[in-house]
Amino acid sequence: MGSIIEFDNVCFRYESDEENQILPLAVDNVSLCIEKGSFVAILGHNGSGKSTLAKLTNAINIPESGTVTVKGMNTSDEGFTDEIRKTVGMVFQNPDNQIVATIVEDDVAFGPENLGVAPSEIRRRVDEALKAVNMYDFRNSEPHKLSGGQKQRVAIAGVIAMQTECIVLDEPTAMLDPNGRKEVLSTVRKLNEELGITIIFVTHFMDEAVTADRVIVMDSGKVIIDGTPREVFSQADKLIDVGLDIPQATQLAYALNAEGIDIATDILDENECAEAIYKLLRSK
Amino acid sequence: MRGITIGQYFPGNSLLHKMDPRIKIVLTLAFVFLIFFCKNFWALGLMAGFLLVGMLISGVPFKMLIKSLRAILVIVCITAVLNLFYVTDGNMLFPGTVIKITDKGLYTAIFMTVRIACLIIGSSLMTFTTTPTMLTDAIERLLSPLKIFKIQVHTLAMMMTLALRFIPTLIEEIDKIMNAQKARGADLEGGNLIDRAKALVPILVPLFVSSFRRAYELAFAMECRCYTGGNNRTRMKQMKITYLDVLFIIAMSGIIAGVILFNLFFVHLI
Repeated sequence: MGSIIEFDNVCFRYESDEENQILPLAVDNVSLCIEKGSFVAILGHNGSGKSTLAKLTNAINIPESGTVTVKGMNTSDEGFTDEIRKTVGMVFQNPDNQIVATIVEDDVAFGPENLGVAPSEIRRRVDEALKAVNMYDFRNSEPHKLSGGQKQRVAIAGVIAMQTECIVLDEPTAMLDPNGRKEVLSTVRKLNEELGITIIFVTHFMDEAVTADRVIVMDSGKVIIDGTPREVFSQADKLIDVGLDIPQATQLAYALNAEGIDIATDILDENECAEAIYKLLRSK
Repeated sequence: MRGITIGQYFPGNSLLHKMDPRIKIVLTLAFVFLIFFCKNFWALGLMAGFLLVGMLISGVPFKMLIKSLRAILVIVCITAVLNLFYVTDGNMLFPGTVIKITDKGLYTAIFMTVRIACLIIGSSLMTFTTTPTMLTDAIERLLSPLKIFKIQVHTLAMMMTLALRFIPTLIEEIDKIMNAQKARGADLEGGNLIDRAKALVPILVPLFVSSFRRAYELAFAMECRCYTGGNNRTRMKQMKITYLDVLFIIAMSGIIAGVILFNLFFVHLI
């Protein structure tokens, strides 16, 4: 599997509203490579640059220095902008602010309509996309009558209907209740597994990052840890240092370890933790 | 304020619902103009009959249609009263008394009332049987010839769609802000008119601020979905003129002919 998005020494800063004031770099010399078909979680607390990084992937933000390439297309080249946005779709935090139409299916059709796809083909794609996110029964509903999780799934369908190869989700669960969060996460997971769509999932919920193939932790514009969830969460000190929580099970194992009890610290969920403790008690 | 519907669409599957919205708009406009051309009760009666048939096949309950009249009841009453007293020619109905009402005045008053009622019910019939999305779509397509005058028809239609889309969202927002301000001790209900107007300020300011932020985010989201304006855009829902629309056009032409004939042959009755 090749890479789909490549960051090469990327720096980015926002423009200040006041003259003569230069803001610090929001993304500071980041180089990374997103593998095609992978599920990548980007973690970080507020202001760590994780959303800025996400917006660099589809030419909303253009790097100050360095390059971002999507399937070999440089995002700084305006001629590629449309093609890049067709490849990398984006879902935002607030579901209300990204739904355009007054009927669910019209909203899903918005992307393909912009691309100039033939009407019968749009119909087919819209139906398919709505079925993929399990919202087909709501195709004629009005968006404001749906729950947050449902709205977010409609937004995801809108991206799939454009046949994007990669979906970037910028804190899609931040405004949702636990049920909505579960709905969105399982939908995204299914798309990754069944359709092979590359997922970049920006979040500050640790338990959502646990299920990813790869976790990238950001702090003040830099990538500080990059690895599998197991590798990342075993570095609890570093995570706590940058103001992030670690999953409760990992936290417990960590605390036990600190007390001198011989237990592995790369534990991710409750089951693993229970098993490890059980083994430990049996051996005594 | 949850669960509000935009416009006054009445879901259904009648012939009027199935009509091409473009034709529906054009025919409604024709109907409205024609009502003003009616010079006597025969012509107006024909229109009212046509409207009655439309009401019957639309499947919209009569009660709902009559309700749409309530908003303009005052205007209807004023028009009727004015006509009743200001038309001075014709024969006095109550000769010798102070009530100076002529038969012609009474006739005009009733005529005007029926005319306005037909007007309102006719246009509500259109909004009852067409979704707001379909209306804006149809308006965009009907106005598309204006493109040659460099008028951005698509932008106008997109603005209408977005406005419709955000009405419920903003109403919810107002609700939230009001509750938040009430929780801080704001008195929104009491006081005189000026106090109440002043109490609106702490609601409107946050509403505007958040609306701007919404607009900004929405623009991002639309750009991400490759929106670049109306050029090279296709539509999922195509509009097709079917035999049904032709049928309605023929019916309307018949009514137009009828009204012209009645206007010519019954001149003496006003």
